[in-house]
Amino acid sequence: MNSRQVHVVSRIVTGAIALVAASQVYAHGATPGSNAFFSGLLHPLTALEHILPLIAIGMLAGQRGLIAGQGLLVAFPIAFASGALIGAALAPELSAVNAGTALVAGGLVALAFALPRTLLYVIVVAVGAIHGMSNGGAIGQALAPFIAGATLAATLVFAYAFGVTHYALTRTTTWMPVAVRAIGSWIAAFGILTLALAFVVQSPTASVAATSISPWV
Amino acid sequence: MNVSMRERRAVAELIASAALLLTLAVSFPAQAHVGQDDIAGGLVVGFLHPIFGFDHVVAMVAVGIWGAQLGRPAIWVLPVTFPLVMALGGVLGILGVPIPGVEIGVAASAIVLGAMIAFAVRPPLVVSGLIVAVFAIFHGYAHGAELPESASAVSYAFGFVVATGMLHAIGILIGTIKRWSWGPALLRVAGALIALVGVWFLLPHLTGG
Repeated sequence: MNSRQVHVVSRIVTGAIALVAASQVYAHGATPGSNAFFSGLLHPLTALEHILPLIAIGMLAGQRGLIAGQGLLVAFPIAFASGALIGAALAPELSAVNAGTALVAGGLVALAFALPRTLLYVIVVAVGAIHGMSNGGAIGQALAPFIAGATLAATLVFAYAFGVTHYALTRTTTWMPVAVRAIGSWIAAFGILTLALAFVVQSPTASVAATSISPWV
Repeated sequence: MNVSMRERRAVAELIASAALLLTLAVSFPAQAHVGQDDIAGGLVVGFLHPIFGFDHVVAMVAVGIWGAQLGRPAIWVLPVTFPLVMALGGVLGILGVPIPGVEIGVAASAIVLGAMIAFAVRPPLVVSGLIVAVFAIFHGYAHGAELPESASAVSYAFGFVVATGMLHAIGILIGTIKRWSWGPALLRVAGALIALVGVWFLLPHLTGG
């Protein structure tokens, strides 16, 4: 990616974030169901344990290429929405499982395995369904608009990571594949730490010390 | 590593846009997610934790510079494996497993890595990887042991991982000056300075102060 293209990409991302942020302000339910739609839309975006694994599976697909992964653009939203329906019924506790998906998907990106296509599809569909379930478990409002919003947001995150990664890896820059793998390892590291937190944070004795930030000495 | 001027500028701009994104993410009003605390606050505290500890800053920049000095394949391996090993150290810190002398380990990491750069030591990849991995455990432990009580521990975790990765990137960026005729010498001076900072942080532990 050259610097102009980086500019363009960062502007698009910035604009997209500004749009989503703006929708928070104006979500006042002009149409019945729109409140549920917008809370569904924001739900996967406001929790790192959802957004990071979704980015990771997008990057994993992007490492494999747009052509190999194109069917995922259909399979992913179906898996996510089905998972959300199941999650709405069962309301499962999936904190540790979500962390596990960050570890697995991020770790695979870091390893830069050339996954068999079938395995890639299985992983993306499974991670999509798991996050659909944990998002669906949080529904307190109208079912259909919430799932539509959550599926839309999750699919946009997945598809954007997919596209950007594919695009970045088709550039000739030598460091780009490493940058992609490094980001994968950040997400995997997040998964490891969040797994530990999922088991520890419940007990009040766990937080060892209050944060003591000593500026530079 | 053969990095052109254009690519180096692109790296710098990538870092800048990532910082911008993080700022935007942080400026999001923290949405009350079921069972979660202050997400944006956790990101900020986590991101600042390595940056406000000058011993962390110099050691992590040293990892990047050393990687650039060693060239391939170290420069590829370090930024990918470091976060994972650091996370294991972070887990030890979160669990409260007692590790003696973490602060000494962090200071020692600056001394050793700075010395490696200053003397331009080129051990086999396994050895350099092991040296960096041992220090990654100490750094991760130091971050993991100081979970914020008021903000989201989950986003804190990602914050310190990203900040550490950015410090590596800055180190690698600095390391690219080795292509210029005076570059390698300047890098070695930088390594000596890093080692001195490490000594400065180690002294209070030695004198018992």
